[in-house]
Amino acid sequence: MRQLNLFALVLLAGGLFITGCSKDDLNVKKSEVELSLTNPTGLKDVTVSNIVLAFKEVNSGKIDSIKAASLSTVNVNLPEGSYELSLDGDIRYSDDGGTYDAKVRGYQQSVVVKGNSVAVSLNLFLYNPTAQFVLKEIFFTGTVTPQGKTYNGDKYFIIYNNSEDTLYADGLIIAEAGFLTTTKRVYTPDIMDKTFTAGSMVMVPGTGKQYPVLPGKQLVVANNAINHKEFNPNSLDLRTADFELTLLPTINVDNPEVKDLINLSSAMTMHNRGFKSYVLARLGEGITVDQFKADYYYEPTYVNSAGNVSATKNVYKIPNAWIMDAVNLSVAPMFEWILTAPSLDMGWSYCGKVDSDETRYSKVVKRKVLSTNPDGRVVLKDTNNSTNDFEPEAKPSLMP
Amino acid sequence: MQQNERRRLKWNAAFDFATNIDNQRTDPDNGYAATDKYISTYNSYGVQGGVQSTRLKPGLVKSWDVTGSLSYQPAKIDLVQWVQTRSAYILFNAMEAGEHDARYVTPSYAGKMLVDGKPLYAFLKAKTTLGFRTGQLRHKLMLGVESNYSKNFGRGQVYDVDFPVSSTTPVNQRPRTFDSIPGMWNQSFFAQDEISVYVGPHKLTAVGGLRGMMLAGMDSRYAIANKMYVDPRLNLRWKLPLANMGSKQLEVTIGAGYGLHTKMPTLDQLYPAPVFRDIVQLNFFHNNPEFRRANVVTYIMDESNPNLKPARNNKFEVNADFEVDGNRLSVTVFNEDMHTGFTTNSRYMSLSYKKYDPQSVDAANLTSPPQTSDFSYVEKHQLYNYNIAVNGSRLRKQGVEYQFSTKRFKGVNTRFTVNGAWFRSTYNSSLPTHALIGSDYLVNGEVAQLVGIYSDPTGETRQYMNTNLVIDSYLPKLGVTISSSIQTVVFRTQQNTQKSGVPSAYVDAHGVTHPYTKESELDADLKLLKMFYSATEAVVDRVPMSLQANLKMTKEFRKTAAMSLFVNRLFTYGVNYYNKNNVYIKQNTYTTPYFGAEVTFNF
Repeated sequence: MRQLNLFALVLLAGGLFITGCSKDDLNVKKSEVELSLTNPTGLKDVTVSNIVLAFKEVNSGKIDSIKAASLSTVNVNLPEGSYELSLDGDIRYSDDGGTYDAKVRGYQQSVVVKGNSVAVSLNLFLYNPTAQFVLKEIFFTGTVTPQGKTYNGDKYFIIYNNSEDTLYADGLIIAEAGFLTTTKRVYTPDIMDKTFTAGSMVMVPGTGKQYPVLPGKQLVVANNAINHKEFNPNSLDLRTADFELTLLPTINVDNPEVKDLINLSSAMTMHNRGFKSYVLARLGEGITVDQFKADYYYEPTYVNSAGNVSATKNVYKIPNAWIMDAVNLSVAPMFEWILTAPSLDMGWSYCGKVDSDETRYSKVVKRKVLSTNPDGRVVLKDTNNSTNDFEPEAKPSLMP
Repeated sequence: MQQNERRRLKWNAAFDFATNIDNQRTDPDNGYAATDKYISTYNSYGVQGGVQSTRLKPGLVKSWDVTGSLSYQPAKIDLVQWVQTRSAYILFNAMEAGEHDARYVTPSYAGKMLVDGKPLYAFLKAKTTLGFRTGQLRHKLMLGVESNYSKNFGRGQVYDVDFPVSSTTPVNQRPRTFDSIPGMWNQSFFAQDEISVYVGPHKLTAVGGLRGMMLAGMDSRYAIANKMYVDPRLNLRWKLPLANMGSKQLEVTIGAGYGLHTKMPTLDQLYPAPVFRDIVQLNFFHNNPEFRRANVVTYIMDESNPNLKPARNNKFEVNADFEVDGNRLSVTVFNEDMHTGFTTNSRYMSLSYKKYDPQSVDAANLTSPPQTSDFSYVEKHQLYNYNIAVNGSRLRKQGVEYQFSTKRFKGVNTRFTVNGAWFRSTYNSSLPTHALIGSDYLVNGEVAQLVGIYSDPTGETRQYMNTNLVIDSYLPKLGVTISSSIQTVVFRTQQNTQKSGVPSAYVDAHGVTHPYTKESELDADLKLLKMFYSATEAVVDRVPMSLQANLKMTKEFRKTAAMSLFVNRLFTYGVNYYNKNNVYIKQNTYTTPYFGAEVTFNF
């Protein structure tokens, strides 16, 4: 829903001001600016506050800054000229999941200020200085053939640049949980609030600047980057995927035209009932894969259902600070706990309403669209609560 | 039957035939009705016969008999199953070892398979009983020979290796005819002398025997081929004179026995199926199907152990039997020790392969199918870990068994029987074990690069004590028998040998052994070879008492039919407890009784 807030801001060129100005300024004509703001698309119950406006006169380079608690208290009175207008502010909006505070920005070039009054309209967009890559879509269920057999080489991830800067995917890690959301255990040591326990991890290769992703663009990471329609007419063509996984040797296939991700510890086999969680992370500054494997190895022990002490092998701890996005997955009747600190993700999404749900195939969890910026860039919703941020059981976007 | 005044000659012969056809169209859960088919046919033919001669007048040879049987049970399963690949991957279909180009699996097809079994069993036994005296001693000498032969002449799993029925065929196996597995011919003899002597009112009986057995006709590469193993045994029984107890008489018999028992390995242990280890060397799945190329190296592993010997068990027991007025108590104490028990032991092997680089040809600008030789490669190694059957375990069993049954009390027509046992079994194996680092764990991007060698001995001690009470009442006027039983497990314990889990050494992909040091424990990959064993591993875990009660009622109808109603687990009880890890275990949970009924007809 779009909502237009219109505020007319009028400030007359008054004697009080003129007397305070130098002689040169006496001849400068000033205009009143009627500023109207268009809220970011898709938001409800919007209030904008703590506004900082900057009017930069293009020829002189002079900047007029105006601060106001809210738009109704802003006074704009500018010398005639050609301006670049930018706005920074706080925004509060709400949806079914609650009320959120965020940052908002607006920007417009070639604003000509002339005459007694000028109407200027500015499109606001959400601005998140900490925005990063997010998991946009996870296809973990696979498909079913016309004969009713399951097919699973066509699973994929979509990673999305949710920021307004070009980001580099080099070194980006997708990690699958080493635990299950359907089996709650008391692990010793318990470090769940500070780290994520990863089983298999795959990493984008690159030296640092090899794989740029523009704002609002995405990367498709396929299990097998091939045309799966050759094998199952109900599946999809993943030949144009950006990367592919190297699966277990007996079930792997390698498309030479699609770059492989690097398996850090073991091949990833995405849990097809969705009992695991996934995070996007990067190793900490200066830490190599070998160092990570040596120093962040984790072998938690737990008491199993028979009352014996057991250990979970081959899992690693990823500090929360390295994690840029997390998505918990589960199935309602089986759910026992989330596998991330609540600060990373306090909810979970799903495909399938019961365990081994036959209807879960060909469905994904898909991140909801928060807003679309004036330049067409889509901002995805990321409130660190997958229950609200994701559309469960959605149609895979790569499926025609 | 033929008979004259000196001997009676009996003979018998029988022929059995059975057939069964099961035509099940499809499995509704996983099947695909349009193609799937499952037809199972089973026939059984059997002949058996025997001649028995019994001497009616005194003489050395009391009797002799010869019995034999032959059975043949051809069985066939014809199956068609819709096979659907779950993605593209390389088909492993090589029947021979070596490097070879391979192709990708067919997306879906109707896989056909015939499972053909033709087992034949033959048995022949000849036995004679001699009777004579030496002084005061009475001898009853039994001599015999026995021959057992079994062999499957079937073709086993018959299918096209290009179109395997994947749900029934493991990826590391290929068709193998049952016929190619040698038959087993167990040849044995026995000799037993039963000597009895009366010393006043005492009767002493000694039974001494020898039993020899060998697997005949085996390939001489096996250590046990054509070798005779002889088991001696000796039993003594002393029947005491009747003792007066008031108006009743007490009958006491005391016995002791010793025996060696040889257990031959099974066919599966002697002739395990060869394992096919296929390593992908090139995996080039081009977008253009014409340009795809795959290459595999196949190793065929013989996992048989020609040095395998029979397992031999020593058993010693003492027993006593008391009977007075129809009430009977018997107690047996035994001690068994098997040094050479069968167990599996892990081995490893380093396999070399070429890792071709799919990026080494310009995939985007190909104009014709590439050859394997167009790709560059590096030589790599990986380890293969497998198990063979060995004689490496020691199993000791000790225990006491008892049974006490009362006479049937008049009036209520009820008999009480109490039996029970206490066992302790100790299992040990001190063979070093080898374990591959997690099967899909990667070291420098490759799987199967490290094997840990563990010298920790393996072992466990279990104890078990149970007691059962059976009360059965017979009501002749009603033709009803009521039987109730309470089965009690008094306690169970288990104690494992403590293991450190730290390897003593490790093997790299080239098969070179290195010591496992303190530094190894910190290495990113080597640290994964350390196995976890809980600190409470060697603490005794004791499960206290649990019991269940069952009830059965049987009504007979003029001896021609009987109807029974029974309730198992009519009630159960278990003591809740804290286990060795201080976890509260609830044994006393509600279990639903199991109700049943059965009708039997006698013709």
